[in-house]
Amino acid sequence: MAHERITGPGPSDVSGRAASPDISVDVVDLSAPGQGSVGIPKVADAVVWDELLDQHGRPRPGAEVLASHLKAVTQSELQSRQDQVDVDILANGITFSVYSDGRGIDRAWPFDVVPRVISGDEWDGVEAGLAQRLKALNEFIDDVYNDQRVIADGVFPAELLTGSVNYRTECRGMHPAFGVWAHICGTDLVRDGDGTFRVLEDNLRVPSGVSYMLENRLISKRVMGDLFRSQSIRPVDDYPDALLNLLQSIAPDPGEPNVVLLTPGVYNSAYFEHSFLARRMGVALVEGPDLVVRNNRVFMRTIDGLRQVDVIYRRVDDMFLDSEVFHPDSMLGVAGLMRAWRAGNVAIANAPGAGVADDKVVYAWVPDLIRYYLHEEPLIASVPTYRCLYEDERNFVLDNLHNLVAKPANESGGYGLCIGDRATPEQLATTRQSITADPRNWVAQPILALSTVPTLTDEGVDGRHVDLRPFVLSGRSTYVTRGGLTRVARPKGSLVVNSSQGGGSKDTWVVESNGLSQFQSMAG
Amino acid sequence: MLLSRVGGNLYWAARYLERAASTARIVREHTNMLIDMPIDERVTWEPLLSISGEASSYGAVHETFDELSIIKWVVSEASNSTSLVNSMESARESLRSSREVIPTQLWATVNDLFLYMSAQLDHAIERAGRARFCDRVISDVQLCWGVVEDSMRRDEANALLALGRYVERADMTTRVLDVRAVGLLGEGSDSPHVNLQWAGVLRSMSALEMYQRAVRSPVDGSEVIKFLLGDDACPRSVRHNLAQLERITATLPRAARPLQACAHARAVLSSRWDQLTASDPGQLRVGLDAVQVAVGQVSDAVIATFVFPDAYP
Repeated sequence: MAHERITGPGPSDVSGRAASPDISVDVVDLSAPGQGSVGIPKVADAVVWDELLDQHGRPRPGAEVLASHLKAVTQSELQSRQDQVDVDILANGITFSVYSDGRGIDRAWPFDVVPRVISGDEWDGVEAGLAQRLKALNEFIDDVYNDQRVIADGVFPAELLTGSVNYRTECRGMHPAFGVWAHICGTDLVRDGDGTFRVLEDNLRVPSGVSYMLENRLISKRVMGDLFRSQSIRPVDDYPDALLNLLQSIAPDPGEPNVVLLTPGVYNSAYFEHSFLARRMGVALVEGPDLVVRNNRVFMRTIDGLRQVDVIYRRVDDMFLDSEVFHPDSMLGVAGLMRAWRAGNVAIANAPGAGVADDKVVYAWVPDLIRYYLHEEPLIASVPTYRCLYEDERNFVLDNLHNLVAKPANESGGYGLCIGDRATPEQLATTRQSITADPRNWVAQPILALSTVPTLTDEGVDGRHVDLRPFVLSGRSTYVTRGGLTRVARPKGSLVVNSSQGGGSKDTWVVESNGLSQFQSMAG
Repeated sequence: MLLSRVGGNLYWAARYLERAASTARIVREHTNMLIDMPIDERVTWEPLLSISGEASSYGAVHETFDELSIIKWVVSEASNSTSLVNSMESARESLRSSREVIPTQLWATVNDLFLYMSAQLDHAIERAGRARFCDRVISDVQLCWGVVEDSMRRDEANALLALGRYVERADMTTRVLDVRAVGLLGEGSDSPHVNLQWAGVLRSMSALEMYQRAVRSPVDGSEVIKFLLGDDACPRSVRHNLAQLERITATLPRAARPLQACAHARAVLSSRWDQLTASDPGQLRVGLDAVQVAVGQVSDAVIATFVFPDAYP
């Protein structure tokens, strides 16, 4: 891996990896085209990777069918399909909620008709890399709540653990089934200027988006159905079954465990997804007040009285799970839940405390954790990351803020993010102050040139920046979704893909590299 | 293993859906009937308010009782909690937090109908668009029940939907009779068009054809009352709905209390039969009141038992 750290003085006592002295080379690879030129030298025409066509205009591997289809179809045909999709989405109530002026508003899920294509061969590599990454992350979580070998061996700094807002001392000494704490992970990937997939962040607490991945496929089969005949696209629809299998497998007692999905309620922005997954798994969708703890066991209130609950797939943050232990005024969780969990009477996914590893600061250590726990080199690249904890790296960040993306460790949804070359002087000053005040809470990365995918816009089909969120299920074995949720930044040149901030989405096709499967070619 | 909270949502969703369809039927048939009446016939739009029990709250904000104001109040008024559009919105919200236990198509149908109603509200008020609007509401709610019949297991969730639907129907039939039949037996009885109006009562419950096939004689006031209260096979009759309520309740766990309430309601209907069918407006009103209270007690028992059980064992 050539890109683990890019520059400047590094804390050799921790990383043990040589820092690259030549910052210009790496930054150029990763920088956005035509963006700023102060401080760090850049190549003026740094290339943005287009996922459909290469620089000679030829379709990339796997994209041949789609490319020729797009060439044949007219703008107005494409637009009329898009219009039909928008009507269907509204009618089916595929929505997410945003908050404005203190009230939630339901918005139709934004879907772009032009899919994003990834070749099967390439995806096999990504899958292996994600499985490896989650294995190491789970070993890390299990370690920090038990023996803390990683600290004793000098691989991970103790001060980061004690300073982490996501480290829960209430979880010390727990041994969840299979040593797995982060059962469901949504890892965000981006492609940089040379087409390399890199992990942007791991979401190990309550990642969302998988229902939209599944809905996107249903929609694209309706409007692009003909393209599924002439190539082999890997199906995605077995995710709910894989998730249910996983949840049943972690039950305290074998047999027929009662699995429930715990939602904060109908006003949560991801409620649609909670309801979707409960429906597709056939499990009860419960809210905090539906549950009660008696004798360290969890029960749900049914029309036939109390029924014991064995496994909780919780979509409620740690701090709201149990008013006895965390926020005392939380109505979203269940008083006594942690007692029941610690007594081994109920399994919780993701386990409380799993978020310790999705800290954007811990992110910087993941390659080292993979080497430490698995004795393997990382199969999937990270983004070079400066850790403001260390004075030398912090000083570099403060001096180069205008050419970096600065991220607070524990915010999600893109909030608090400072994209240096687009920030106002005031934003830069505020961020600089925040970093100085709480350096442990900040990391910074070079500004990436996110890849683009052709997207239907008001001005015709044009490239828009995308990321990708595959989902990884960890239990007795590991399951990685085929592709994931592709999010697209809709305004031209924008890098913000979050749906809460106006991002859209696309179906993601992992196309079998050998073209037609045998079955399909026989069936004609 | 149905959650109590979800059971409550389903019960109310079914009541709201059925209420929306009933309201649409009443609006459609009242409009039809008044168009038929000679200009000098003394007929008014006020029964539409009385049926939904909204006469006084309407009167608090309106001075005139003209057609368009009343229709607007019954169909689209945001501040009227029982207006058609509010009933639909309540049904949609209740089902939105029950989607994991109902067929996807049921949710999609309700959602689509709500979106249609929101977009078409203005057209629902004028006579020109009113019938089409009401037709759509009625047929989409029928589609909902068709989806439940066709693609939903006969499980506890299904049972709670059925209870809401049967309670609402029994209740609505007593309300329509209370307003329309009592009026027609009283001061309206000397109108030359009284039988047309009795036919309108049947139509407002989509029951005219059923009546004709079952009774096989011209429409007659006292026969209409007997049919809508006591026919054991008409899906709008009070007796039929009480029987369905008892049958469904018996499939649920711990159902002693609502079963008792069902038996009581049937007993009230029997013991008041002579009073209800005496063709006397005062007697009918007293009898209907007793039946309505008994239906309300069934509803209370269903909610107390399944949605808010007093204590958990």
